[in-house]
Amino acid sequence: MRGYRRIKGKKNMMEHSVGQATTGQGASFAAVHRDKDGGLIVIMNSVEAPAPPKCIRPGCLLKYVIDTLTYALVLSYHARRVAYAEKNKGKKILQRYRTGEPSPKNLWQAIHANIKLKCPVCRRYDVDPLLFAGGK
Amino acid sequence: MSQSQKPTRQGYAETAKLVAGEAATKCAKIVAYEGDCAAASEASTYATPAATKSTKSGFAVGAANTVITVTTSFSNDTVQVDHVFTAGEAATITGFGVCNNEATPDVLFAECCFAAGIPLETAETLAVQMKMMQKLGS
Repeated sequence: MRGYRRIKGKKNMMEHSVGQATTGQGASFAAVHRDKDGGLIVIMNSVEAPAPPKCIRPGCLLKYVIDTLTYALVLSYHARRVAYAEKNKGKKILQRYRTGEPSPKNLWQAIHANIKLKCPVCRRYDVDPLLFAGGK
Repeated sequence: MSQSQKPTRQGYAETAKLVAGEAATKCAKIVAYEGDCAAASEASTYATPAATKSTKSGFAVGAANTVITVTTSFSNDTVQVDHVFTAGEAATITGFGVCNNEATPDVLFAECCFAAGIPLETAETLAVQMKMMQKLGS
């Protein structure tokens, strides 16, 4: 076994779902890249775009703006994460960068995840640069 | 490139033909993409997908491993395509598309662009799954 651990025990690593917002046809995807020995390199799952607002109240519009910003940051995080995992094929890195789980769920988490991924020390030692006491 | 996925208008039309019993073929083939895959688009077609269709060994158009219906919200409301690409030579894959069942497909049902290019070496695998749901929403 090389410098990373093979994922075992998770029944289905391709967990993604189609958005429910509109009538018609929707699509989602997942992809799992493995080396020739079956070791996991990276997993990608689709990320659903936020549903458009259904009212014009400031609260609805603000929610849509925040959701859209979160969506953009989550996409950015996954693009960086996948590139990082591919670049470090065969090396030991945090498993979350290979599996994509846990994925940021809100704006705050997305900001933290992006900053942490950009910081070599933080991603190496699994610490959050915005939470100085070793927060994760 | 940005991670994105879309069913295509060409796929909608083929689905409509299948429902109407007109000349059409089912979703059965898959092809990997290479080159810049900026964004999956509804306007993509088999002739003009979001990126270049790969012709490399293991990634060229061919029969998908399995195409079945699964349940998302209602029984059998989603088509699920599973396939494992095994690299016969080095390639950087940037997305993939699912196509109809012609000897040379002419309809692209759906496509996706990956979050980043996936460089594969010989004998590495890329397992992919596409779900296309017939949605009943608001």
